Amino acid sequence: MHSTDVKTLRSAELHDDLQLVDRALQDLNQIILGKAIQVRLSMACLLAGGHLLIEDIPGVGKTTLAHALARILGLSYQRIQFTSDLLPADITGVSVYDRERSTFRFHPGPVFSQLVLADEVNRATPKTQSALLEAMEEGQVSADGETLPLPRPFFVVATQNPTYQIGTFPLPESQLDRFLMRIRIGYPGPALERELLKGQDRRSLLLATEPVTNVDTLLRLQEHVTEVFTSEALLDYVQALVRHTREDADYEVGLSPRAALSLVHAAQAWAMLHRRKAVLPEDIQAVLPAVVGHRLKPRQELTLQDAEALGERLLEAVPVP
Amino acid sequence: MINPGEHLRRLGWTAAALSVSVAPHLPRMPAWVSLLTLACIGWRMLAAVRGWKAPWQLLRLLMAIAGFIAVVGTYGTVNGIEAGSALLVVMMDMKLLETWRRRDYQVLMFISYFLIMAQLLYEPSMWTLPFMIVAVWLSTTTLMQTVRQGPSIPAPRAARMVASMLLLSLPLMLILFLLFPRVPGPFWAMPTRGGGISGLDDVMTPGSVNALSLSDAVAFRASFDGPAPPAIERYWRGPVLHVFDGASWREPGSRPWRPLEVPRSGPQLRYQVTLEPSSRPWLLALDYPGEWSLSGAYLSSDYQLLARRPIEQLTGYSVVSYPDALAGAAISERERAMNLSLPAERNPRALALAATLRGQHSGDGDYVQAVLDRFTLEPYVYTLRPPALRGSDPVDAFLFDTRRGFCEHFASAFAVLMRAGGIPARVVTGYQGGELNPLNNRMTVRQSDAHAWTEVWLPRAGWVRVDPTAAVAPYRIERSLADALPDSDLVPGRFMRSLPLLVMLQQRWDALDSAWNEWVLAYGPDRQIALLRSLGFGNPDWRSLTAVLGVSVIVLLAGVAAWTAWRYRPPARDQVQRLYRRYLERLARRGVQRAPWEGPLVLADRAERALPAYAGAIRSITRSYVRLRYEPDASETELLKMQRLLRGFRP
Repeated sequence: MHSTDVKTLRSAELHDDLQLVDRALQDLNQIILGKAIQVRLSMACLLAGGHLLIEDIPGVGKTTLAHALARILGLSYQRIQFTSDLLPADITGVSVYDRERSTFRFHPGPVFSQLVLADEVNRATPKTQSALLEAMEEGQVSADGETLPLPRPFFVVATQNPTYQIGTFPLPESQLDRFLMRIRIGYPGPALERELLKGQDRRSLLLATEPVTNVDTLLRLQEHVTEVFTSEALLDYVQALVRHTREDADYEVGLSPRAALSLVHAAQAWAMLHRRKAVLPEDIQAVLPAVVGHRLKPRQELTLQDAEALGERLLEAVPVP
Repeated sequence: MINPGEHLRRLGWTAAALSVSVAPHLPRMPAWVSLLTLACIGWRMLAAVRGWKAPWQLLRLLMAIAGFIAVVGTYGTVNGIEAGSALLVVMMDMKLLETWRRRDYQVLMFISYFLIMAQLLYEPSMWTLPFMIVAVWLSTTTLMQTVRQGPSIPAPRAARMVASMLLLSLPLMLILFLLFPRVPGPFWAMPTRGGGISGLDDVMTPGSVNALSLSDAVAFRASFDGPAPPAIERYWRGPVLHVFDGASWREPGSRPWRPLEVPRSGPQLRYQVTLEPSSRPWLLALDYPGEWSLSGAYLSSDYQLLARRPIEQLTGYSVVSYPDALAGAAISERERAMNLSLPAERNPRALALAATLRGQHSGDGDYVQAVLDRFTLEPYVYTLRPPALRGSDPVDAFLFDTRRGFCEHFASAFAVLMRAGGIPARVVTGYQGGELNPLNNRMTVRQSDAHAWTEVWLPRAGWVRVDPTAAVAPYRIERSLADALPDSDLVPGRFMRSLPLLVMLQQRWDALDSAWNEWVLAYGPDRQIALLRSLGFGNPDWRSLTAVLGVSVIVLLAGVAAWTAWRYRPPARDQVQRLYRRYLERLARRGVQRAPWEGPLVLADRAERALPAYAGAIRSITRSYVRLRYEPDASETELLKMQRLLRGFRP
């Protein structure tokens, strides 16, 4: 049913869908004050069908952003609070013996939601982390020899405290690669913080908001993202960027082909949000720091802030052909 | 799914297009059709505003049946042009009630095209052309707006797009018009519409011709190869009337005598005639037609050129006439008897006069001249308003009492006197004269040129034309009706002829109308064959026509394809970059230096802020560049546009 919907999608419907997305962004910005870029990046990440990692100190609104996305986009939502004693089955689900039927029955875990918030993912053990990350990669969960598909769309927002906090297991590079983008939220500006302090509680504001879009709209838009045109000239630019990370002395490891593909994909979503039918260098530049920040390993040990500046440095180093 | 605002816009277009297409039909139809159309358009618009659904299917079906019955009830049939177009309008109304999807809009526009074409069946004149163009333009724009997926295009742009589409289709249209094989005969002919037939009749009673003389309508046009003969020789032969009942003349029920030998001797006259539809099979020609182009046409035994079927549409043909040919060197006894017969005890005074004159002039020629002299010398008056002839002896009344008459009075009286004198005589009706338009060298013959004259049969001379009107009013024959009549008679065109500017305008219009008739309306199988012959085909038929058509269409489309491929070839990338560098240089000259990592949009933002006076140009150039470099299917046109923009960009 969805596939035919996507086939009949044409510019008028796309126009309407994108208008809904604009409204969703507006509503999100009512809840997450002063973080328009991060909100837009999250939306682009979702539309590109990728998963999002939000990395910042507690209390800047990571959870609120994830919850607000789920609510406004009309997705089913589950929050999993990661702790050091969380087990893989707590995420994927358990098989329980059914006395009446004398069989084991699978009880799906919280991962069977369209939007899963993995809160403080770096507080759980690597084993538990990998259970989630495998589900993200495969789009399905295997339990007791049975394979169960996860719902569509499936979108994981993981939050992570900066690694220097006590009692954390930082995600290894190979796992970080599963996330299309990593963003940080940062402190609000003084005026907005004042508004935050004076205003309504964010959560109750969130619960008062109505969904703007639905699952069908999202699936249609996700399908359309792949149709946004990428010209030869643009791919020249992407390759130049990637080549620079591989050749320049600043980076320990360059960007992988998968990273390049992710970059293009995220830029397609960004371009679609701006109603462009083709990707421009500006789209690449807008998403690049979020897409490559967690994939680039700088030569020296750098802080998070520096790592993102690495993205900016990369952009400044490579001319647009 | 179409959103409501879009739906309303589409309906607006549809309502406008349908109103224009249907408007010229409505005055001809009963009032209920107009009311129904208004109601349906109104209801559909209201339904769109209020968000109503279509009526139930059963209700729609019942309404369609009711509409059908109403048409049958009004016209008694659904055949024929009138009933057919009424049915089309009613079904269009019904279709409106269920128009919700794209496909329905499409069907409505096709009905609209049919309605536009149907207008041609009523009014094929040039005046219809502007209406057709506007209506087709509007309907095509509506079609584009309603069936396209995605939001509608702003109206002015849509109208421009469709105008260029229509212009582009013009060559194809011309090829199809010129070369699509046309079948002669009733296949293309329209069914006859009832109503007044104007023009000549096959019965002549006193007053029947002068009724025509007030009509300015064109009967036919003719163009001569070489100089036109003088007016006095331009007798266009129509029905020949043999049977006289004392008051009126008519054609014989049948012509039993031998088939005619076509006389071909002496000088020739070659000319083409474009005949207006008359619902009669008569083909007007000068005396005596020897060869003609219209297939199936034949010469009657009294030298009238006839078509196989009544002429229902503008018809073109060419004729070669032999004016000096000897017609009817010998006539049969039956023919002689018919052309001598007079009803007994009718018009006794005329018979007495004939007997007296015949007594004084024994030679046939002398007798004819004596009768003509009588018309000249006695105070006979040629007038458009002759007094009514009462009683059973109208010829007597005219000859001896009123002495005022129009051509048919003179022709009738003359023929009676001839027959009474023992000379076979008959009345010929047709047209005399015609007006030459110096602009296109075409002769226009109008209904007001209708005329009646006589033919007498003389031994050794055969049938000889004698026009008694010429004896009474020579100006009628040499010049025109208006010159022959007193000023008090109202004659069409007399006032106009007194103003040179009007004369010139009238000639212009006449030339235009004549060209339209000849090249558009009368363009039929004969002209097609002639065209092929001029293209070098020895013996063209419909097969060669089809072949030429196919080849022409293929050549045209291949040409269009080649041109399109060339015009929209992908521009060379380095060319785009060169143009962009030129733009960058010009920006740099004004201090806006592009950083190497700056994309086109970021740079444009900065440049617009730095050079606000050039913001528009910067935006256009950037848009053009982005389209050429980053978007799919950029065309050569865009490159030309960027070049043009850059030429004007001198900050």
